[in-house]
Amino acid sequence: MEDIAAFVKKIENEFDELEKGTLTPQTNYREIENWSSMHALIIIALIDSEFDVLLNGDDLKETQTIQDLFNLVQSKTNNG
Amino acid sequence: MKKILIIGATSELAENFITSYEKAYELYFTARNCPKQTNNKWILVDFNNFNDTCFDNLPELDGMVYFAGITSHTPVKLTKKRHYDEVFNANFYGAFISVATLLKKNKIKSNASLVFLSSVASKYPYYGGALYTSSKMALEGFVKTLALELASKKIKVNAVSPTFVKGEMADSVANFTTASTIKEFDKKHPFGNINKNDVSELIHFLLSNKNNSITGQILQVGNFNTGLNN
Repeated sequence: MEDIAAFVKKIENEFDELEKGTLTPQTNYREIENWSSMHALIIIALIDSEFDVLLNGDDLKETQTIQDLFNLVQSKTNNG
Repeated sequence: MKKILIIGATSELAENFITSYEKAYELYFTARNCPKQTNNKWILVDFNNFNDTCFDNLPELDGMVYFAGITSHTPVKLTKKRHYDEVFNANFYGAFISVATLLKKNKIKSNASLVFLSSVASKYPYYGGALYTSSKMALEGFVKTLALELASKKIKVNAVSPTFVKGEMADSVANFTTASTIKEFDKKHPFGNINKNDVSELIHFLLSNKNNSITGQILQVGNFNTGLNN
């Protein structure tokens, strides 16, 4: 799997209203400006599309930061 | 007793219909995964890998209800061919190939009634639902055309188009929604949201001899966006 920097960039790229370079691995993604359920849907769809890992709402609840998300995806790709 | 084939028999709406009316019909079932209790009335059918001999042992049918279907929650930009295949095979191709196969093998009696599950999403799209919405629109086009082609045999062909029914499919939506958006959604139903029995009862009517004249119709169940709710 790719490194965390590329992962952050991918997420940033999906949120049109976000200025580049705003996100870091430590960002709590729910605190992104104007966060909504649509953003959660986009993150789930992005991870499914890119890594073939389908997260559900409960999986998301366990994560806070982008690093958490990255770790979760990594653990699921390693196991699968 | 009417012989009815239930396709996608493990879906929640199918289970409700079967529980409500199993004594009224002689039912045959297909599903992608075998349920716990199986007998010779169950046929394993996967529309990702369809085998056209799968209906060979069925008797001639008085009706069919197509419940198979899956939702999609993928923005267009992130959609891959595998998403397209999965959704369209279940929601559209399965309906198409099942009917084509049954007709070719003379398994559908004159005067039969065919019912397909569509969704209000075909009229009211939602974010991330491009594949779901367009596959249901395709299904509705198919239903109207089939009604024309089968009219001479007095075979009735209709779609039932429910709003989100509280249950598993709606819960998959709830993953992406908050309590307040669900409240907003409920408000779009002036009589309140529907339950599964409302859908089953309409299907039961369409299959019955009472339905002499309804064909080629898309019947919405649930008073979603009726204009009564301003």
